[in-house]
Amino acid sequence: MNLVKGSFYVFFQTYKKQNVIFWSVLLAIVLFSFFVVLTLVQDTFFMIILSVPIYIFFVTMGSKWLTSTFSYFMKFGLTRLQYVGVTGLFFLCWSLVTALFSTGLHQGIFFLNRVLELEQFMIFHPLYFINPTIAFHFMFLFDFVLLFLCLLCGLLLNYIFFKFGLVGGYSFIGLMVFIPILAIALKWYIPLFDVVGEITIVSFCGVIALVSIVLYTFIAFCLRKLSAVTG
Amino acid sequence: MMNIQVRNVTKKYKDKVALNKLNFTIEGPKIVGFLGHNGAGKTTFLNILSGIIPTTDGELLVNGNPVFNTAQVLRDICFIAETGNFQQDMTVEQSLKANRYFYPKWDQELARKLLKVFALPPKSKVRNLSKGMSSALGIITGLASRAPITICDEPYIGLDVAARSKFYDLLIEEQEVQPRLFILSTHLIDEVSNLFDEVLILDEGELLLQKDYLEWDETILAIRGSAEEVANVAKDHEVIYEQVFMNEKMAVLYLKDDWSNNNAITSERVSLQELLVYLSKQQKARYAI
Amino acid sequence: MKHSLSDQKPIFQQIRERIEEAILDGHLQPEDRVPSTNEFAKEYQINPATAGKGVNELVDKGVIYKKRGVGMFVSEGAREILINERKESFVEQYIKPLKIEAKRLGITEEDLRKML
Repeated sequence: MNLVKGSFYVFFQTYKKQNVIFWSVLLAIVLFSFFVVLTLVQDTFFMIILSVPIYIFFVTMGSKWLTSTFSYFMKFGLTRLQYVGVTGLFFLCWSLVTALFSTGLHQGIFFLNRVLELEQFMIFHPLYFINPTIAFHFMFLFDFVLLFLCLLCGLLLNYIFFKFGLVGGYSFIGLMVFIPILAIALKWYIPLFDVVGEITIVSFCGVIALVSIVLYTFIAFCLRKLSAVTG
Repeated sequence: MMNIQVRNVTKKYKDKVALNKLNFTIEGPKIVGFLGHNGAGKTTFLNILSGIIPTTDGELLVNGNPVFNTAQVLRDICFIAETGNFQQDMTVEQSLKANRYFYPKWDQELARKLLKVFALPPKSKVRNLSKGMSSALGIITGLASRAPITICDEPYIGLDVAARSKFYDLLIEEQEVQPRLFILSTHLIDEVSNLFDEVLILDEGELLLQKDYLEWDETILAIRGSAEEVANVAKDHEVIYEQVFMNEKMAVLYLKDDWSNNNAITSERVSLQELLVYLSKQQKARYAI
Repeated sequence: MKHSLSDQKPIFQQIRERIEEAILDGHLQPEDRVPSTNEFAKEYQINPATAGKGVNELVDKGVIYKKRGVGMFVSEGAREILINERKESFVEQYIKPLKIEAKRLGITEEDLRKML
């Protein structure tokens, strides 16, 4: 549909700059670390985590989404439902592509390590906690759903700031910080670890996907009557 | 044929009522001048008409269908606001390309021609355009959209006289080729009022006047004379504004029925621009206490 | 360009008067083509309907006639019609104000004759 093509075009152009800068910096760090390890003396173990910056990047991107595109699309005559729809679609594609790339990067370094018999360099991925030789498709699936969730979380945050202003937004963040503290105090982590111990990666991804769908539906509902003009 | 029905439209904010039970109908194609002093509620109304904000009460229908969140209606409306019409990091060329996806009747040839007419650099980012150039981009979008309802809210901020003149020429040409309902909200009234088919004036969130512009002189008149004579004549009509100067009273009347010449007073035409100045004087007086 | 249309008189009236003056001064002869409403609109940057109102008044008076599908043309005897019409309003438009102003300034009939 023309609408989808047009929306994707605008989304892409709007976020092109940020993506280019982010990935350039990230890849520069990877390359730099890699060559440092190649040229340096043994016994220096180099470990970097790429996933976390990427997750944070996605939350940040999501948290600017409404502010930078909502008003524009409303002016161009999209209904709010259409806007939520194309946003969801774009988020899915974005997460998919990024997950593919990220997983490819991780696996690639892993492969290079084996080929070059390097022991000192590793890009660490959260899944390595569970299984250091995790398969491609598991890592991909994990990143895919998690990145999608990150975008949605960012979007929710943006919505709260958009609708309730700075006071509302920061109060919400305050509350969010409060919850883990509460969880530790009430010792909710015990049953949580039990579950985590039992769960398979696929079921875990399933749970995250489910949470994402619920969150997405909730955001779609909230946006129904949102005014595109603040104040 | 486009038909806009405004039924009891009200918009309330925390501290004020922006629009109060508006009721009127606009039918086109025609060029409608949508006027009023600052704060009268023009932009609020246009935002509601374009589906950008919801009403607090009442409904706004286009050809019988509500505007808000209705795709088939929104597709036929192009709204060019004062600012914020484009994504800052996209180039002029990219912005126009994006428009093609959103307006089913978009005319790329016209857009390309207008780019040259207004001499816009296609590869410049919107962020780097001067005020005049981004207004020109807005005008190009509005014209090339060929949307059956095209709304321009102060479309010429920063445009010089020559560019504005080009815009008026283009407007006339466009109406000849493919007429549509154009709604122009502007403060540069004396330049563009000769183009209006119809005039709507909002005052304090309410409709003051809606008139076929050709009938203007049969509807609005200013009279001068002594206080008693003026009061005598004015009682049969609606007084929009009055003032006393040099022992002479002047009243601007909204004629309720036929005007018959009276030798005790002089009557003269009131231009659209003058009427709005009187209305804003009235508004200032209201808040001056 | 606006060709200095004033805002003291309705625009349609000014359009009508411009055509009348062109005919009276001989720029437009009988059977000459009168511009279309769209042409007036473009020339003066006005609404075609406004131009149309002015033109139609002249059609009603018989000064211009419409040739279907071709355009508007000046009628035979248009100049005479306008001259007669203006002669009738000459007294009202020019003589009466002259008398009022002369009275205001204390100019006598003698002085007026000398001035003429």
